[in-house]
Amino acid sequence: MPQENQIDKIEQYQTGNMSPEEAASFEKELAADPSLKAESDFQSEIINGIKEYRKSQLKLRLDAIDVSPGWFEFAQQSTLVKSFGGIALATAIGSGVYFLADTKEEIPQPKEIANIESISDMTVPVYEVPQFEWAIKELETVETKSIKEQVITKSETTAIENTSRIEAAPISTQETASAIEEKLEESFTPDFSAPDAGDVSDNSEISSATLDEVTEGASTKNELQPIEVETKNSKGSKIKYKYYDGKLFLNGNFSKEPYEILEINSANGRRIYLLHLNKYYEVKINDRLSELPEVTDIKLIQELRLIKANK
Amino acid sequence: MKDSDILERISRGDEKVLDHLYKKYYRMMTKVVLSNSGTEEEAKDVYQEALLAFWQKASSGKLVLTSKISTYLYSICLNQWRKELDRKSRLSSEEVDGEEIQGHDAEERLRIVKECIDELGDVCKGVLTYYYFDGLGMQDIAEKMNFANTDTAKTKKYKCKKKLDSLIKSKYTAEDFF
Repeated sequence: MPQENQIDKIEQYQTGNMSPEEAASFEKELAADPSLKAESDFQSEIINGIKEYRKSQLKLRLDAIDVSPGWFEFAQQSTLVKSFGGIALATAIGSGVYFLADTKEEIPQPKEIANIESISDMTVPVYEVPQFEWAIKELETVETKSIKEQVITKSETTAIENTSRIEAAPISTQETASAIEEKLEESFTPDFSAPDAGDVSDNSEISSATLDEVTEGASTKNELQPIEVETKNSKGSKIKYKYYDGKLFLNGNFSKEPYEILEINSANGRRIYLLHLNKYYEVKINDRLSELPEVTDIKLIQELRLIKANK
Repeated sequence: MKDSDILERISRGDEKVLDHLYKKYYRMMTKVVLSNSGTEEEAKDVYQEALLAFWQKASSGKLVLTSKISTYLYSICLNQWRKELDRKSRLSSEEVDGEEIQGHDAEERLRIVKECIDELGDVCKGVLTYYYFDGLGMQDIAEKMNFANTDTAKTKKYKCKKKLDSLIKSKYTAEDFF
């Protein structure tokens, strides 16, 4: 049995942490001592095994990543009607030029497209972002209205909390509905979407946007990168999900009917909805596998239908 | 993400960057194989091997990158696939019986080692794989594993390795490999 300091040496040798001179002299020791050589071979097998183990672990991780074509490839592979990229694209073709005309110049080139230049034979993707802005604005105005209504009827406490956060001062519940409504009129911005909006970590521009910046063109500043979706088919009727770090894991029965993802990007962030078997679900940040909540707000469902139908 | 940010995050063992890279270059890299008479499965294997080779080098700080990451990955994929094509053509023209018997023995021993690692707890698995494969330093391991300090990481690594050694020894003995 080799001694402790020899074991250290074996490890240094096997992990490549020896200088060439040290390694050469250690190899002489190995040649002269069969038991040391046996131990060294044994250690080599173990270290190799650990490496292989880690490798297969990481390969499993990679295998779980969905590498189906992203939205840049939609132009080429139209069978995949899966994310809003496809939907937005259709609209761009359908009614495009009119809305594009006046915003065109402010649109920065997204990073993704710049990177893709290195792939020589790829077609230039159709740029569909500005078209979508229009639909989002419309949604926001309608939702703003609906939230106002909720505040007036005091049925939705979260809406009131939201207002007080904007004001940075607590509003007592004795305040009349009209007072709250006034406050809403003067200061309400589409900030209400922030709590359930997507990606805090990936897009600092969104979180740092001040209220003043929320103007007509502001949202075109966002770098729009589609979320990553990873799907696992299961037999259950419920859809389970995890969503964090810009990545969505889905676990559900999609074998009969594929799901569709509506990704809504605005200056305040990103909201994601999922459509499956005629039901809409809301995707919130969540790092624990849990059941996907169904959208029950009828107004919101109508809006989502409208967005979908318009595409 | 810039290449320098990616490398920095890999050196801390941030696996999310691995996911990011995998997805980002999947089409570009598998094309090397697909357009040179390889199947989808072979293309994926080659790319995964290449990406993990890159990951291992970058996480252990042994990589000096003189080109873009994509260029580097592309060249590994190309080399790997050339080697594989070479191996395939040799396989079809030669008999390799002797190699296979030896290979079988080594395979069996590798299987035992992996089995023993499986028996370890998650902490030991983490510490040992981060140390031996990813080549992370004790500081990074301590951070990844939420240890109080690097000494804890060192002690854990030492104890886990001892435990694994003795597990493997007893199995080797039982299966007559000594």
